[in-house]
Amino acid sequence: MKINREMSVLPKSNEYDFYFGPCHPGSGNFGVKLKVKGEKIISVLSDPGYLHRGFEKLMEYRLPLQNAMLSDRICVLESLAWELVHAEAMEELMDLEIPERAKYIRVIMVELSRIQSHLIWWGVLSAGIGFDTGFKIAFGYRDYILDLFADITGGRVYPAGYICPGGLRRNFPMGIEEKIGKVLDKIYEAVKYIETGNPTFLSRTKGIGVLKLEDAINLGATGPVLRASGLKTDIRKDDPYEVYNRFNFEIPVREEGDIYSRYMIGLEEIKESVKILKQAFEDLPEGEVILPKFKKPKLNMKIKEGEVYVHNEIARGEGGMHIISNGGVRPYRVKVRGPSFSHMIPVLEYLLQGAEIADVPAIYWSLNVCPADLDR
Amino acid sequence: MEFGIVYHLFKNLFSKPMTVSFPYESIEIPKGYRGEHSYDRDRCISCGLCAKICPDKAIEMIEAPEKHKGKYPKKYPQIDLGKCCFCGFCEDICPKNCLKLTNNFFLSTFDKSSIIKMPFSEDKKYNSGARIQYSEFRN
Repeated sequence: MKINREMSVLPKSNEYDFYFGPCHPGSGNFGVKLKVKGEKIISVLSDPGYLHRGFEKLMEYRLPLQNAMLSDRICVLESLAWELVHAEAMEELMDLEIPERAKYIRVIMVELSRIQSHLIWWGVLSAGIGFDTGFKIAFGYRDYILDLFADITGGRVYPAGYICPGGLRRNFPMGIEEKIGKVLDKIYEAVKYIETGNPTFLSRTKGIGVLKLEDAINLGATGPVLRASGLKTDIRKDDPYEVYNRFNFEIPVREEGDIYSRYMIGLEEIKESVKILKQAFEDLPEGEVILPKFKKPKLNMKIKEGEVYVHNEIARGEGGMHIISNGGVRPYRVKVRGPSFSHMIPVLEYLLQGAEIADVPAIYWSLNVCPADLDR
Repeated sequence: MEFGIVYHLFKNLFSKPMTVSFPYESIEIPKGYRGEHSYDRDRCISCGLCAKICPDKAIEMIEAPEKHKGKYPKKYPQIDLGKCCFCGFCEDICPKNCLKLTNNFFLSTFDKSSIIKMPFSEDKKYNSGARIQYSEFRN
């Protein structure tokens, strides 16, 4: 049989479009449009918007307490951290000084949330480079922390306004300290798994996706991504909130800026969080966890007129909330600043330029991104 | 490092799995879990605070049907579990403690009409204290 060469299905050029996401199991609800030549990527365009829920607008129609419930949905994997940002902003607007015990419990909950978020980071990065066992181990160990959350807040993933303006909705249940201690021991087991210097893992991560410090600053990277590029910065130290100034902990910094250094930063931060948790339990005071006038939900609590911006170090970077109030019971305007916005659009586009197709998931997940807090 | 793998291999051969085989067994559900609501209409004073605080507008105050009107003349909450986010604000705000969240997490159903919890249905499945219980499902 004769083959007609001109009618062949082979394209004349080896340039073609390649879509990573939004239905890719490894990308979340987020797409990246790539133009590739052979295996090399020549142009990148981030394609967000598949997870937009309009939280900023929804919050203008709800009471502060209801917004506390809503704020934990900004990022599913970091619900407690986002609740803290919202609660702090509201407290600053209303001039509230919350009880000491509540501050400590907030720190404990947020650090537990940071550990589980970093475990997920390791899990999805493992899945991104084809190491599925890592993914399963990470999610298995994360479940121990979710069990703690179910015990303390009443829900595994969504604490539903546990950290609310005025304090906390519930006190710690009996015997939770021992349970947390046991879980932290298990986390140490997980960290041992993470530390394995698997040669395949190293060859997939070392020297790939390098983000230099200058570019990281120019592109707006924050948090662990910026620290992996060599800048020693952490809002918990630079602008302490709650009771972080009372604890001794280190800020892990690495110079290389590649996938491996970002991954190691996550691992070291888990260890630092465990340190903070131990110190917090040592000096956890007794007493109330919520201000008396916030004990029962109220429908007509007025927010003082004013404007506030609060930023916190959440696991993925800098999470902030800008709230404007005109003296009503609902906020006039809420602006959410998520860390994933700058990581998923400018930084990702910069890093994928010139990379290979096989490295796309690895680079993508090494940035510790969350499409939910990008789209909001 | 290579020996580490061998160690974990042997350790995992003799250790229990991390998961439980649901529905034959379940992890322990803690006290204070935010599951399905239980509602006591005899204690309800029809203040409507639960409907006002509900962030998802899942609670609607409805009138009692004709045959119950004599005993229950006001409006009573009807909860749409499909909209509910199980935050528990209704439980916190209720002045008479008649609305409570139970630890029934097993809310999957084949009958979509049972998603709405009506305060006055004669049918047991719509009433307070749940539809299909996890323990029933197991047997």
